[in-house]
Amino acid sequence: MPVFNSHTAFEIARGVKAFLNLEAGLTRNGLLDPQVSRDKDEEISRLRAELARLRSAPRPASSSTEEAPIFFLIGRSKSGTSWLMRLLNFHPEILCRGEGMFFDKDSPRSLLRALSRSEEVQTWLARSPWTRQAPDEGLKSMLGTFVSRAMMQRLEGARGRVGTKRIVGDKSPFKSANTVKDIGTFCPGAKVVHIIRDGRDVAVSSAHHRWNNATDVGGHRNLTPDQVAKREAYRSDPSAFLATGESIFAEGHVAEIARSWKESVGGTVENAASLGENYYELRYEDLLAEPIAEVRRLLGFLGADSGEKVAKECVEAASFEQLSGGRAQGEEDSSSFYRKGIAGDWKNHFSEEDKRVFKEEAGKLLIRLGYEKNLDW
Amino acid sequence: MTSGIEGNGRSSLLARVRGLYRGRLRALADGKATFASGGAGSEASSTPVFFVTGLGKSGTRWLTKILDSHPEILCKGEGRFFSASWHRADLESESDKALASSLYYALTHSDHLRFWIERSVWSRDDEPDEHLKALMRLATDYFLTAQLSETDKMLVGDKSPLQDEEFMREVSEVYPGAKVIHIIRDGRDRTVSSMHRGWRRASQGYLHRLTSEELTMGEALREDPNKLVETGMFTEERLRQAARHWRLLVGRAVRDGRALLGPDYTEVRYEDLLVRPNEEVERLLDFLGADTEPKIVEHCVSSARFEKLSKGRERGEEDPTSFYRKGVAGDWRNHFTAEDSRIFKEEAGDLLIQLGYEKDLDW
Repeated sequence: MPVFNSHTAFEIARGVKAFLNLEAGLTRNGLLDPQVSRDKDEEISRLRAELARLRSAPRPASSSTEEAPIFFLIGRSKSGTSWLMRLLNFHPEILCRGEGMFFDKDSPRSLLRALSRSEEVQTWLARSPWTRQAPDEGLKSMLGTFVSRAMMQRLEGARGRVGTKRIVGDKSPFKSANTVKDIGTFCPGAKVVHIIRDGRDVAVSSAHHRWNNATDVGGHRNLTPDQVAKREAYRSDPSAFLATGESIFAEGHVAEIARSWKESVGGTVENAASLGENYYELRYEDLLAEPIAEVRRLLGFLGADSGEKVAKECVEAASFEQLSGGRAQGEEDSSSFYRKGIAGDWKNHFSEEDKRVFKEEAGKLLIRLGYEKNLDW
Repeated sequence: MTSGIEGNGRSSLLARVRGLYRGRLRALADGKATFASGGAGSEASSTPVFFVTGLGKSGTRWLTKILDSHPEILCKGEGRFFSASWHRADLESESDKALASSLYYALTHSDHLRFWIERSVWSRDDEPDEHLKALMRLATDYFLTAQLSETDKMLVGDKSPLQDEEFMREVSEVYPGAKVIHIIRDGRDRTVSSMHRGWRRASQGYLHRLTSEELTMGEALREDPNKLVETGMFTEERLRQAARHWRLLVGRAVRDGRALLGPDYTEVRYEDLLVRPNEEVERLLDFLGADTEPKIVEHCVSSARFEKLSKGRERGEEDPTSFYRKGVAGDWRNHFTAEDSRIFKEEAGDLLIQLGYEKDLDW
């Protein structure tokens, strides 16, 4: 899949010409016998065919990620993507940063949306004689190449500081199952790591995340006075609050999360089938229970050094104690991004009604992913 | 040059040429590593890309046809990749007939895009413009090579009119390594041609920027071509503006092209292309690295002959309603009044001298 350099190609064109001119000159001067000339004709047509083959190879844009050691770390938000990003970034060979937000045109912050929404870009694509056939295709390849270029450039920069870095990854949580599809389209050949967490824990974590991003504490999310009261009640005495059996969730929030978890996570698993061996799935829960074994497997997938020693260092550097600034796992700080860091916390939070709603919306996916055997929980 | 080559010498020379050529093919194939390992973008290129540019009504389309008829060259237009300052609002219309803004304008003026670049962890530490440049380069590369790959040609070029004075600088920054052919025509002839174009577009219902005074003059001229002998065909404002425009854009393109693109830049005169087409076309093909076999040169020249483009008229035989109106050099002498000459001299006399169209201001 050649991305060749313009000077080289100009030289080739010139080379063909020089070759032909030379042949003409030699023949004119009687220096070339007809047999050699015939051989050369064959050779020239063969070389030309080869050139044509090189040129008709798939577009540079789609090939660049095949060559470049690029991966995307994705997952539903509150599923451990930041934790895993930090963990991987500690690896001497890996640069992992976030959040690029390259894909999914329905995602308000994505690059794809930015390009799709630029009227001027769209008009150009629609009217240029170079694009008339397929403006969307053009946009795609352009974006894919740009993404890998931006990431490779960062990798170069990081290599200046840590010479061993050679694999680069972007961590971006997804909003929908489009993200994995987009990666397959725009950056075919890139590796994708999908971290999955029990949707019920995602829901609990999301509720706390909402509280932390409320406008009254400097965030962007509007909470009803009811919700603020709930938050304050929980924070002043979590166990007393939970003992009342009241839900921590705002009206409709459990259903909303269960639905989006089902659609985005379930959809991603389905859409990832087309990525084949370039797709890798791991569980938040497994990463908690067997961190070193899990990390070693993941590093193997990424083509990085997966020795026990380096895996252990990564795990320790990104331990909950480190990330939370000293708290032990399970020791809750409701206001922290690294709140509690455990699996199954939903059991402490879900009201009976919350369970019913979640079961209804996403009970089947819980079973399919092996989080439950049936709906009797 | 080949006379001294005998026997083994001859075949070893052939072997060397063959080896050289194979080596180049290999280099081409190995080029795939460029992007993956380099990453910085500017060195990651694809095919031999060139641009044909020139001020409107200077023969850009004619030259495009000549080049496109070469078996190794795909050349068409107008991609309007460059000229970041060129946008649709120039035409003050949202009409469907309005052209799209340049791609560079579109990319540099998308608030969403800039916002993303300024915020994303992958780009926010750099100059946003550098990323936009890279995006522009990758896009241009992509579009041109995508179409090239559907043909069995080797070289691809876009014909983009000179829209502003930054063209050469933009090419040198965004697309180092691309070749540029700049076609230049006597500013007086192109001004005459351009005026005819304005009237033609107005009469055919296209967007135009003519004043009502100019439209009236156009009608008068159409009714009786001799009517304007004394008054001329231009308003003073139009002529001054056209002369100034030619001086600024062509002058800057010549200066920047030579200084910034060096060997990747060449010029051709509309007038030379008229009087010695084969010689000039051969030179341009050689510049691009295309086959300059005389038969091919002849084929290119004749496929784009005026008679062919104008569907049967001879050069000099005027049809004011046609894009290929008259196709001659020096027609300004039939149109310029003494006052017109004075105005043009005042605005652009120096560039006419610099480009060799005149020796001095005594014309």
